[in-house]
Amino acid sequence: MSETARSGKLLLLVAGFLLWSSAFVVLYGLQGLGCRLGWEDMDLGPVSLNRGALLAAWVLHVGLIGVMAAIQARRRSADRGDAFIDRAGLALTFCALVATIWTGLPILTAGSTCS
Amino acid sequence: MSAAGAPSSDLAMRLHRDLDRIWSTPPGVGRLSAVNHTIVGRRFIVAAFVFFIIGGLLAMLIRAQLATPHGAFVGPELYNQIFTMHGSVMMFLFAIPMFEGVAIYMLPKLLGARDLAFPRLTAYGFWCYVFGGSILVVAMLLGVAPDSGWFMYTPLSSNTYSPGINADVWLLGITFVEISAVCAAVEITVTILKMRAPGMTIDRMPLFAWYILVTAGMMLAGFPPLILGSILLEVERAFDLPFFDPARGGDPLLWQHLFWLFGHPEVYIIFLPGAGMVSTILPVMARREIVGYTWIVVSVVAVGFLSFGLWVHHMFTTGIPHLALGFFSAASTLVAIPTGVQIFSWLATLIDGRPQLKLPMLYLFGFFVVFVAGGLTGVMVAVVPFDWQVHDTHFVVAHMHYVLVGGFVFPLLAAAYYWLPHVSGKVARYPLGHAAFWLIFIGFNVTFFIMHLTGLLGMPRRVFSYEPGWGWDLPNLVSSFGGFLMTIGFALFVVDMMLHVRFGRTAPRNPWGASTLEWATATPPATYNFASLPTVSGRHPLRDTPELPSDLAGGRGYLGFPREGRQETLGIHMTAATPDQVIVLPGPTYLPLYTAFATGVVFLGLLFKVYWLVPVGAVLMLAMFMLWTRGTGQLRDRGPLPIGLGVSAPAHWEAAGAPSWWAMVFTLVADGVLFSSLAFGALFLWVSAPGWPPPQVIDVQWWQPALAGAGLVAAALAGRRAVAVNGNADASRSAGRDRWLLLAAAGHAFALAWLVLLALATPGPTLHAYGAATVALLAYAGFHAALGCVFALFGLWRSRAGYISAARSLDLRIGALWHGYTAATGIAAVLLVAALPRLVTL
Repeated sequence: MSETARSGKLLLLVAGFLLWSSAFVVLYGLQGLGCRLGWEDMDLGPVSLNRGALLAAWVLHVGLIGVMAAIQARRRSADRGDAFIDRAGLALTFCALVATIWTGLPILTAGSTCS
Repeated sequence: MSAAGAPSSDLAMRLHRDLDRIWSTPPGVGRLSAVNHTIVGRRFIVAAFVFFIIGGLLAMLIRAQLATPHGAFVGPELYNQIFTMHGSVMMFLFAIPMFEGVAIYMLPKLLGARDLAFPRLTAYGFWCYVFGGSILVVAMLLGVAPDSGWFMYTPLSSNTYSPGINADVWLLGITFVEISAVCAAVEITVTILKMRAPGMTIDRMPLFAWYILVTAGMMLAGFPPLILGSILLEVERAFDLPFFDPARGGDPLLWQHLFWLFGHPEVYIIFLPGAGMVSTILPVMARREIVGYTWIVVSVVAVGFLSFGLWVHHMFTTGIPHLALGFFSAASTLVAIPTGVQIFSWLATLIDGRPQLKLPMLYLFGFFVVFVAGGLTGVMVAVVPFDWQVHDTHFVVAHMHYVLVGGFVFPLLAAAYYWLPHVSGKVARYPLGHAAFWLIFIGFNVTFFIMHLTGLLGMPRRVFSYEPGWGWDLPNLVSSFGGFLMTIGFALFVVDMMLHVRFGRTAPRNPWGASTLEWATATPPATYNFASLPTVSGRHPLRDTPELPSDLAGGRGYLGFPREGRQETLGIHMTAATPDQVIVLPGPTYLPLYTAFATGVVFLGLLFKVYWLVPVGAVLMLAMFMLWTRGTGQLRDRGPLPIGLGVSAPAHWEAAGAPSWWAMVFTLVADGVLFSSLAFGALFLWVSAPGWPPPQVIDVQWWQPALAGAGLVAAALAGRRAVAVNGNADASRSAGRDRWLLLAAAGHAFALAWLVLLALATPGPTLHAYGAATVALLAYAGFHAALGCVFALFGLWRSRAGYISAARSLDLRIGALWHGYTAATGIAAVLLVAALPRLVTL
């Protein structure tokens, strides 16, 4: 396997937190965009459109990171360095999962999404 | 040529003499041509310490002014310059360059290499740092230093309130220094990933290297937003494009976002190297392997990411909606957890080890006390309601100093005593270091502990005077007393260092009994570090193989022989850590100095608004960088070269993953962050700034941006095709390759023409931030297309000159990366330009 392909394994170390970064940027951006477009005043079932969009983005990211963690949990590399990446990568993805859940919690608790 | 077998001591001596001749730097004026990491690293450290002294003297002036109410020491205008320069010098000219200096000096030795990946870039970064820092210091001596605070908030730093050149000095001087930081980040990343000793898989890397790797990655992502912000603010000040002017669709909060996108990770960029020093020194002092290696690595990576989710916690009082504050408050509290994991790992190591209270350990105790206290107040200000109470008070000043001095300065002082025998070959003869520690430790706490109280009593930061009787008199006097006590401590430290170097006893090799590779070199080290390169089979090479230093000195490792007078070191496969290339490094040259001069011409032209000088300097810079390529590469294929121990590897220009290819990858990562920040800025202004929609938008037909994008795509495809054709074995390879390269250049030129036309069609860039943002996006794409032309034509010249073959394709592959990136970001830019007129009417 070429080095470029094999070094891609290093990305497993940061994949979970890259998704956390995506969640963070999307949530912050979506919140501002929704307020700009007046989504706070539009209903989506029991919640405003803005909160609904934020919830969807949050749950999507939590799901993606959860899937990523499940995939990484099944990896069993024989090579010593790769095995370290498997272990540390899984721990990091799990941390990213907790971080994504924690940083998105204010969506459930904030009174308004725009004030 | 193989080094197998034990050479006689005569042979070993001859090997050292040969290597010394190959790697040495000329004396006298020739020292200015130094590119060796040991020399440049030492220079970085000394220069950073000089700036630390300057910053410290400024702090003394601040404390002298605030010692009593109605202090008459300096007036408000001078005071503004003093506190702005104190913060700027300490952050940009001391902390970052000091860590860079330690990393530059130490990394190759820790990793088992002979130098960093790009020695000339190291030297160029050093000169940029010195020149940029000098601009700031000279401005201060002339009384025109920046005076808007170290974070340069607009509109205070905008033309209206800072009409002189003070703010320009900051924007240009600091950007000059940031070039140095980004250079260092790229170089460090590539060096750690590609130049470790064979066998040093990533789970065997010294923890210091892990910390520095994460720090370098953070710099690649953290510095571009500030560089962008500085460019935009300078463009606003110089050419009146209103990115931050709310009267014309701009927003001062955009500056705060861009600044703190850099500014908060910056705190961790400073702390993590300090923590890396702790993780290196503490196990040696505790005489026990560090507890929780893997968890420390996990924590460091987690901190690296989470620290980017904190930037708005500096903006809690700016009126941002509560929900958004909640996101940032949550992330701010979260970052304490991985930091805590490291603290507990260190404590566990101490508890389970047999700690010895030697001088470096004493400073580490100082680190524990001060940093943990700073971390706890950090959790306090992460909580929005508390932050609202103490925002912009001296409480925050105290917190920040506890974190930064605790997290960086105390570990640095520990490292100074720990590694000084390595640098100087001497061990201390006098116990002054203990007295210096207590003066610094007590002085620091007297200064800043009580400053929490001053802040809680309501004293704001950045005020040059205060009224008596508000309860601030005594705490300020005590803080000033503590500040002077701390200064005496630092003065004693300097005296101790000088005595140490001048009168210290000769150090035994590895005086602390450490197990990391830097102690396998001679002390002080030779310019080539190792006469031959080690093979590593565990995390503790010197403990696992005590005879390693003598084996390496005797040439019984890799590359234990000189070849054709070239500076050679090894490159490895990133994850497998097997040797995969011989990296040939350049020797001493004045080119980095001359290139930094040319860069200085660009910055000085901008600073003094002599704009005709700017393109002159830019062309000079480009010409100098072109000259760097002289002497690199080969006119014929060499194939695998013997590297000793019966192994062979190709030279780096014939290897797939050459350091310069990876350097381009990481440079483009940083560039991509800058582009994302620009796109964020344009969208942020639309979403959040007052005064939108703009009175006029660009009247763009769909085919105009499409043509620009088509040019860029054609260039990217042609660049890839040139690489593919080059790999073919048939006789038409050379001509085909050149045709594709020419097409790549033409594609960029075509795109550039359309991008310029679009920019010219943008209505009123000075009238509204919409126009300014549109022009900025097009300028970004245009700049990259222009450089794409240069890359393609450079590849063509190298091809014609005979430097390229199927095996020697590095120049083409690096160019292809640039062409691909330019197409991707260029298309994104023109799409955004085309979409904005529709978005703003929503």
